[in-house]
Amino acid sequence: MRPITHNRDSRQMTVQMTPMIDVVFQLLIFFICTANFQRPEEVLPTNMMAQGSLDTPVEVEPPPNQPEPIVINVLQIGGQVQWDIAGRRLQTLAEVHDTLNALGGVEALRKSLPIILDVNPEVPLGDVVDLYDLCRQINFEKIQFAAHLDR
Amino acid sequence: MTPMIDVTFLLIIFFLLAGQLTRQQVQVQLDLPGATTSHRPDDQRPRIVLVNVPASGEILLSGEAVRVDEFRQRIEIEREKAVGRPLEVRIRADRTVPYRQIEPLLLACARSGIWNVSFAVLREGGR
Repeated sequence: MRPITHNRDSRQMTVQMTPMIDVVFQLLIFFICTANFQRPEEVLPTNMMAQGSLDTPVEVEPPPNQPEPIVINVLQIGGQVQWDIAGRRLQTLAEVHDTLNALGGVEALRKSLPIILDVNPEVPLGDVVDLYDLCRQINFEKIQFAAHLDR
Repeated sequence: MTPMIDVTFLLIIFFLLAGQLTRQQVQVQLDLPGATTSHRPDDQRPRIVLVNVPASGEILLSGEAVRVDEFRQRIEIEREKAVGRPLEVRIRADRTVPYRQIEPLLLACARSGIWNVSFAVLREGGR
């Protein structure tokens, strides 16, 4: 009678570690290479004008009962950014938010109410974008930059 | 089979890595401003002129520094190429750059009749 051996079973149970480690390392390198650790960039659109250009201006009939635009002067005083709206000097963006909320009136009117940003040349872009973003948050849609042709 | 799979994987990784490095060279590393009302760029848009303005204030177009008048010439050429399609000028500027460096770019776009200008920003949570 042939003795029962476990040779076949023991051969099956042998695990080849080297190729497995190879593959695990390869997968690890693959995922590290394809991972993107940077935050995705987005865009903040600005509409410069509706039609024409500064050199070829187009006459536009002002619509009747067009509301007066809100002009925001952005200033840099002593390294600090300050905002001037309708003669009021504001020190924080929260104050700007409240003032624009009050001046904007009901939400339906805000879409047609123009805002003009008159920015001092020394103001950092980050602060300009903060203000622009704030105006969009409060649902103003017509936000324009004042152009100084002499600068 | 194992060595062949090894080599194939290595080749895949090499090409992925090479692609990533090329992309990183094109995009200048900047500290972009943050915004909450931004949106993801619409990649369907046909033509985009990307202008980088690092903290030093240089105007970088395709990696080379240009003057404002050269920038204007370049966007006018691009506008002529983009016949019947909207042209977008995307400004990637460092958040510390003073507005005096950005205003001439906006003016050049306005003078060339390009109304679609956007700022590259990083999405922030609610204020």
